[in-house]
Amino acid sequence: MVDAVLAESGMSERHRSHEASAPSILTFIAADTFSFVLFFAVFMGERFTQPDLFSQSAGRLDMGLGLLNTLILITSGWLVALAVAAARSGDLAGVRRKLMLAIAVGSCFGIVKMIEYSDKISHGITPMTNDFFTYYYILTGVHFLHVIIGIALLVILVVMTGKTKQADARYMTWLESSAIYWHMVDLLWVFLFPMLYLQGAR
Amino acid sequence: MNMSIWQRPTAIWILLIVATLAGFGTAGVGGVGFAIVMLVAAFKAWLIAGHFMELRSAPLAWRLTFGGLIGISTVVIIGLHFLVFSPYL
Repeated sequence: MVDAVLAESGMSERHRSHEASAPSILTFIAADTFSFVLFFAVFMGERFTQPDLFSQSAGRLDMGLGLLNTLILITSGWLVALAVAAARSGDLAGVRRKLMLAIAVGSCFGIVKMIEYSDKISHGITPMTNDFFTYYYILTGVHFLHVIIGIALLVILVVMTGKTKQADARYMTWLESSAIYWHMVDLLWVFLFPMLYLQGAR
Repeated sequence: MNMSIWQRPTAIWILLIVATLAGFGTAGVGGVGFAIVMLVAAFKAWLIAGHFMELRSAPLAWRLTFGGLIGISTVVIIGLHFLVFSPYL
């Protein structure tokens, strides 16, 4: 009955499902994103007082690894978007496959980050080196924590999907909310990468 | 063209990859070059929020909230980047 009314009104399945589950998770995502906007402002404020030091320090970061991690997160986000689309068409086996691929690709972000941190530390570059690197470790560290939480959510979803017979409202809320969280992780890195790695780097 | 639900995320992914590589092409510069990189980043964030997070079908208040967060981030980063070059400071 409700379906028929909504179908008559022209509201798609995707639209309905999204609107039903969106507000609660979006409040959290907006607050989390806002805290990063403040981080950006604090970093840029500090850079304003020491532009040469920040530019020289940015030049010591590995732009290639930063770019690789950007491509990794974008690709993992795409796979999660495909998983949500698969769930809406009732293909739970497809959801599971895509989520596992998203986890595999997303985990590469952590591997690249560890390589990067190890390289910096082996060259004596630590959070104590200067103000730029203090912010670099804090900002990328807090973001990395979000990556770990996001991957944990995707792993939980793979387990849930294995036990689910059909994509009911509760399952879709979990899937869509976790997907939105994972996309936020991607979105934040899209700003962090140029701000930290590319700004004034020589 | 009525793009299917399967094609849309893939089209957005390709666009994001192209934008990332194009933005990276201007890397290693300050001033206008960096502003272009950040505007490309803002465009990518808008694509992610609108299409992957599906905010394009969310109520207006949410679209404004996330549009605002992306806009403020871009303005703050570009603005403070250029303020360094100000002759009045």
